[in-house]
Amino acid sequence: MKDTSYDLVVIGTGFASTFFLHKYLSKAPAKASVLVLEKGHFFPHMERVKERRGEKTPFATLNPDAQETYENLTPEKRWMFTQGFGGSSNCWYGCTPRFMPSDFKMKSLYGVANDWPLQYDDLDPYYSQVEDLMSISGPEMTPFPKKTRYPLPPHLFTTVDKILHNKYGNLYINQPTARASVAVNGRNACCASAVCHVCPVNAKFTIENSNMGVYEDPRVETVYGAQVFSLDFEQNKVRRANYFKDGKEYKVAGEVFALGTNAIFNSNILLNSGDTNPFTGKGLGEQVALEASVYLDNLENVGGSTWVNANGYMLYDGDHRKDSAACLMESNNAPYIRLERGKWRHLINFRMIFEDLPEARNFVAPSADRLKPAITHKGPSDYSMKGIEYMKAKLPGVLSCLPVEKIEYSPLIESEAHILGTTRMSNSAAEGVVDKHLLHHQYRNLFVLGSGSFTTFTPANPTLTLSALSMHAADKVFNSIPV
Amino acid sequence: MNRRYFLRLTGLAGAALVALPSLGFMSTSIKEAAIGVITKELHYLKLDKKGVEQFVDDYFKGHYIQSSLKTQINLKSCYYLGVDANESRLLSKLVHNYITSTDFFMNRMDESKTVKYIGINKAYKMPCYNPFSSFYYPPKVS
Repeated sequence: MKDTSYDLVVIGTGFASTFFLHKYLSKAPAKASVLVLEKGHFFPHMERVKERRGEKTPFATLNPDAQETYENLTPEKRWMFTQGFGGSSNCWYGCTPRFMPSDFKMKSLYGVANDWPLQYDDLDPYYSQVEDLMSISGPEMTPFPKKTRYPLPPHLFTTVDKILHNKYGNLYINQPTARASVAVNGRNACCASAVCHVCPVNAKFTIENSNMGVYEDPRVETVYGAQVFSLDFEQNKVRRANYFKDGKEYKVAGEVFALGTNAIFNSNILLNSGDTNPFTGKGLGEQVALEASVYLDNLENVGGSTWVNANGYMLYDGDHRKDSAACLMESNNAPYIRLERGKWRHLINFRMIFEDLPEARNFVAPSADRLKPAITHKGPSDYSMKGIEYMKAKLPGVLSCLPVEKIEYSPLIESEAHILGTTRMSNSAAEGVVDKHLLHHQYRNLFVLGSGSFTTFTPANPTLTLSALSMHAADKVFNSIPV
Repeated sequence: MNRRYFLRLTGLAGAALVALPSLGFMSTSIKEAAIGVITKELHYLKLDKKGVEQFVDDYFKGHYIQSSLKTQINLKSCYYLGVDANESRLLSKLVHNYITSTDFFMNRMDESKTVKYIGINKAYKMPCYNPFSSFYYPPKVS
């Protein structure tokens, strides 16, 4: 570390930190000093592919397995993420639908939970900026309002997707995705290998292949192997971050701090630091999902060009959300089959994803080991469960344009690999932890980034929105905080 | 044939009827049972026999069946009883894995062609292998 004090100290190198830094650096003076503390290490994509091929790589042991990094008090539910430089960009599947405008107004529209303190229109320009930086592939028409075109053309529908799109128009669209539809910006085109966590052809956007120039910027110093465990608060400001590196404890001072780890570790750091906001660590959750396998009579489902070809919004918005969760459909294009002669691909698998709500019974708490948060998750809300029942009642009608033989449902899938809601966003400290700029209600030089800030848990994938929120937050740094 | 001789003969035959299949059951390897399940289930296809054997060798490497006597007995029982693959998770996974590890789907399910094993865990050894994608079913140009 070159200095003992920085203009900005960022913790973590995943989506939230990187998009925050990108916007910050675009506005910061040439002499700005930024320190990035990354708990893990760089594990290059090509080495990850080697590991998947069964070949040895010295990088494989640099970062711990995610499951070893927290104490799981309810082990039937695991939380999926990746450690190391680039965070979960190294394991995400690249699904990037925007949220719907209604997702930000759950209380005023449906009387459920709370409204977000910012609205869709506030985020719209930042959505577009993130979509450009990620080179998102997407369609002309979308169910959410959109003023700009997607940078890349959409992926191709399968034969069954086409029928559903013809029936439902912009409620059934090519999935907006960070799996490139054509080669772009050093990435290859996606070829539907269906193992997106480590893309064999490097088609998916990651922090490593982003070409955003953030970590190469001369104003930025990155320290690896540095795990922040607490912050020093003085007079409602953060003064220092405390971290372990190579078995020793260090401190670093800063003017502005941004927590950009995931929702589990962000809240653990706050709780270790003495944050007494009653919502810090509370309301941990994610979406709930199951598979619907739809057997088709003499209709072959072939021809898509990526892993998830389409998103269906037919069960998303509507009056049912007063009582039961919205459902987002994903049309899956993995090489699945039915084991019947002549009917091998007379099948379409949908992933049905349901929103959830922050529940007090699901939370992060400090443990005896400051570095290891303890997690309790006693299950999703009744609202989600009612959404599943609603979907099962309505899906046969939704699919009536297809020659459906039968629909089979899987049990609930263990995880959507999203971690949401431990530092929820609100208009005041009485209702949440951070404001609409992700600034902590009490500590006004502290941004708490990422999907922990989500007020409610829409069924849409969180990464695009959390990245847009980071840019929205960083855009306000020089207005909101005297630096 | 006197009555005593008849009883002795039928007794021996009955014992053989029980014992010989049991001996066969015991002596059949899980590899033979797996090959039998695949070839029975896909009897209407021309399977490359050596490829089936190689697949079973590859599939069982590190498979939990190697250390689970219960699963081994389950597989052999299903084979001997002629259980339909869709009735058993163990069998359906085996047959499913085999057929998706061949060129059958790349050949658009052409039953007249010999089905050849091309390898398991293809995603990283053969990127872009998804025989149902637009690379194998390109959009029609109108």
